[in-house]
Amino acid sequence: MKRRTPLLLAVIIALPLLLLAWFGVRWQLDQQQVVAHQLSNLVSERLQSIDGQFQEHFFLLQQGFIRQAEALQQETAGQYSVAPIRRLISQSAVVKQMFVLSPTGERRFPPRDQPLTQQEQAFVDLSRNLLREPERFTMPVLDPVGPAGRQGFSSASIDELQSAQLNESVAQKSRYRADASVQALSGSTGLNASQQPHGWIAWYAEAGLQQIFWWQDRGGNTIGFALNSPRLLSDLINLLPSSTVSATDDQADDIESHSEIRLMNDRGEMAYSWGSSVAGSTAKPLQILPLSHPLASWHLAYYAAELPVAITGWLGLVVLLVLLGAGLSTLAYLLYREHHRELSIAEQRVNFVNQVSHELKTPLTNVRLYTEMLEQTLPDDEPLAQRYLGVISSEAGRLSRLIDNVLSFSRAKREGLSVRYQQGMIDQCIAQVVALFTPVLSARQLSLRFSGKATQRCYFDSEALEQILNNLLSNCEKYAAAGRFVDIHSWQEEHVDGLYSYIRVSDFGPGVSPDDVEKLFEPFYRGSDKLTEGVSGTGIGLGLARDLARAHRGDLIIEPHGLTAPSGACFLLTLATPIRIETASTEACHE
Amino acid sequence: MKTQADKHMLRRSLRTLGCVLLTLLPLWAQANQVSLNINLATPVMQADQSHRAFIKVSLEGFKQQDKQARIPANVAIVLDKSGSMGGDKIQYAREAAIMAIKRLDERDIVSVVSYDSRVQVVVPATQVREQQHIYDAIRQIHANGNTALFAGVSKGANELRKFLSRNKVNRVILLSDGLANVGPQSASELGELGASLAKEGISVTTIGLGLGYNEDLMTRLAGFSDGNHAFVENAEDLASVFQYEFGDVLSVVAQGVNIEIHCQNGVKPIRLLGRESEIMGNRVTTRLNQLYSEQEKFVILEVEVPAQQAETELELVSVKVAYDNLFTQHQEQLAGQSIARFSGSRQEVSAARDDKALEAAVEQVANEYSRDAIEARDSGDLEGAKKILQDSASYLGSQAKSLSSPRLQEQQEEALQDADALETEQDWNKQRKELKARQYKRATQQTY
Repeated sequence: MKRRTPLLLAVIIALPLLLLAWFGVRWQLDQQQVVAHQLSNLVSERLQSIDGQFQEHFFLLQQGFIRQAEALQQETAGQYSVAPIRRLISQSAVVKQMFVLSPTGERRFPPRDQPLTQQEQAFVDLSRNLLREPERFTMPVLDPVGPAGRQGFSSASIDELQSAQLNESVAQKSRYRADASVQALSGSTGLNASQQPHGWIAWYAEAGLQQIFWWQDRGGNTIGFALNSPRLLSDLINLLPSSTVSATDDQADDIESHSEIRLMNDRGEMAYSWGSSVAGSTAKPLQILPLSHPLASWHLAYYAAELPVAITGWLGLVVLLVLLGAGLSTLAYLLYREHHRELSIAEQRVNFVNQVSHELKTPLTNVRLYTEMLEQTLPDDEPLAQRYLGVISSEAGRLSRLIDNVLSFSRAKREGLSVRYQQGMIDQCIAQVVALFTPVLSARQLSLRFSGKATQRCYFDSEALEQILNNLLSNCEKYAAAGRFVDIHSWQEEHVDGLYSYIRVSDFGPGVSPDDVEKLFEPFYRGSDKLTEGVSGTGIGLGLARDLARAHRGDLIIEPHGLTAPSGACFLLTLATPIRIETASTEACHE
Repeated sequence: MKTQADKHMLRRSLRTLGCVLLTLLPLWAQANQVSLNINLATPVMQADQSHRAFIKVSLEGFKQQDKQARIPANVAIVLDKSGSMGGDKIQYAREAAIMAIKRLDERDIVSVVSYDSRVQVVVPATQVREQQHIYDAIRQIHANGNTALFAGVSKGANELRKFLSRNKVNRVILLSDGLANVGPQSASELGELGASLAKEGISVTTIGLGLGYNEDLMTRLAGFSDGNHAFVENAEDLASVFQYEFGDVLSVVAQGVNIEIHCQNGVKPIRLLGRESEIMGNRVTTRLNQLYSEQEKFVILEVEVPAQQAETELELVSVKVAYDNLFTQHQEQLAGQSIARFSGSRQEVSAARDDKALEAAVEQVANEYSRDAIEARDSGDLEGAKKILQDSASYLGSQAKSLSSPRLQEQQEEALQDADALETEQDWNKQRKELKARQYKRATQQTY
């Protein structure tokens, strides 16, 4: 009992904690997965959008180049003379070098029959292999926005681009200020010129990837623009955000606040990075997006130190659990203390009752003794005195039984019930009790009918038997007064493990409803304020009777209706009553 | 245009001068014009033999008449804030930048970009109105991390582009004390970027701080975009360098100067001393991004002149210059030519010598020697490098004597010192940076 309460409380604390922890962890893990998934979606979207920006950049370049090429063709009447091309190269910040191939694949620029500048010469040397295969420039598959979607994109995006140039910051406009010739041209030429075959080539020159845009005019000449690679990278970097100035006014969106995105070039070197966290050089990127043509073999790598969202989530869960645990523990402790106090108060009261009972026992014994002596010495012709004495005697007997019950009960709680076997006859013992109760019961118009068949001498605890019968008959007296009769049958049966005695006490009162059967035996241990009521009621009486029967290796049960009597309660007492005893000493047994 | 006959008459009357100087736009009276001078170092040459001749083509910016009427500047200051800049250096750099910005006013646009492994736009391109905000932002810069020089210059140029205009002085001022180690890091790549920026009218001034930077990269970047370059050993000197630089920026009078030289009559160009140039057949082109008020910038062209008979005249080169005049806001053109006379008399030859032009030519030739010496030293040929410098010194010495030029003498001493310094291994890093910076200044006639 004393150990059970803390255990129970511990379970009360632990169970919700464990449940909460379990669900919390599950939820947190799920959440983390969801967040990670969302994050990776967000990241890949971000990377895709960067790629899109780059593609747009190439598309803008392409538009510019096509216009320039168109203008060049018109200006030189398809002859592509040297001076205008050189002027174009010297004016354009993004173009490093140009070339023109005739329909037969012959080089028209840089010119074969005129002296070349050093740059031109270097370019010719470098691109000899490339220009030797003019069929490269017949496959119009390499478009920055994809050959399939190009038509739709170009018509849609031209408006977009123009509006962007109009609305957006000066930067957009000034970016193309560098190519003075582009702005001079009307936009109308661009559209039909872009119908001509054209495309981008990413080509490994000695220093790295070289992007070349080519366009074929109606005469079959191929005009190529080799980009100034450092300039291209510079422009791409300028499309990318810069890092925030300081960590304090960090208002970047979630993706970039704790992460780093790196632009890696074709040699796997970092060309640019932005973001805030410093990932070590050995760290693995969480996500990699290869860039589209013509930046093939470049890629964007996304690095993040950790997931800050998850950390706060776990922290929250732990804090919640700790708080809940603390709360529950406090509650449990308070409960336990309260309970403990009540228990000790109850115990004190029981002890008090116990002691009082004990103190009452001696005077009561004297009262009974002298009443008996008076009864014997009193002459028979004083019926009134006789009757009064009878009442005194029976009430004293009842009081003594009550006190016995209380003492036995408290002893049972303290040290368990003990059985003292003595040789005797069951029926004799029953007869004594019957004799004792006959006047009491008859006072309530109840008559006892005893039929004893347990006549074999055996060992049993007569005191215990008496106490059991006392309790049963008291019950009859209290509750079954309407039944007129109380029947007591006794018999004995030989079993494998010895002789058993059976005593059935049945009345014809209101009986016991089946629901109450078990409650009837429930031992009394509740609030102290009900103690007196318990003693006078069935509270400890029947419970004690059954405990005694069980201590006697028997039992006390309420038999179901219909077996012996149509109504009323019927108790069957079973006792193990061995004929001889192997261990002469008293034997205690209790659950 | 004058006719050929007119020129003949004029030539005869100026024969004794030896050198003929012509500007085809006869507007001397107009002050707001760049002046073009073409000087042949040896206007009279020995007849009947081929010669190597130096032609000095010099341009001088006109005087800014009114300090108030200067050209607005559009400046991006790009500061290295990598870990090596920690401590005093970054502090001096910040203060130098702030001091320099104090010289600007509302007409000007300034932006500040700092870079380590990443790039931060500290002050986006903005008019210099609320200076305190700019200063506060600059003072937030703290040193940390790597050196993403390429990206820093890119972002700086991008800030310039927001207000890019041919009518402004567009300049990136890059301060770095370390090797670029994030992004492109070769001198040629940065050079190409510089060349591309120059086409947009942006020049990049590079200031190398301390002994850790890559002087090849920095001079290339400055050279291709025609900015200035300076080597600053001590961070304390940054403020004065920034002051000089802003002084230059605020005194620009012309931009986008294209010089085109055509060699005539079988004259062959050999090399253009000092600046990056393009030689194609008999045509030599080079460009300067800007001309400063009252500063002379020149190039020296070395040509081979075929043998001529005595008492004849030969037009060696014709020069065309186009530039954007920032005051009139028009593109203007200048043209001129250089004519040599051939004579049998040695006396006449030496008497006609143009000492100033020759001095400039010798200075540039020696400068080329100095560059060769660095190259030789880089390839491990210590002795060769030393010999080049010693040859250069003796060349300078003999020329200094014949021209009685203290400037050349000074240069000779420098060359001798440099030759000595080549050997000391531990000082070479510093020496090389000094040399590079000195060569660069000489070649571009940088004022500081």
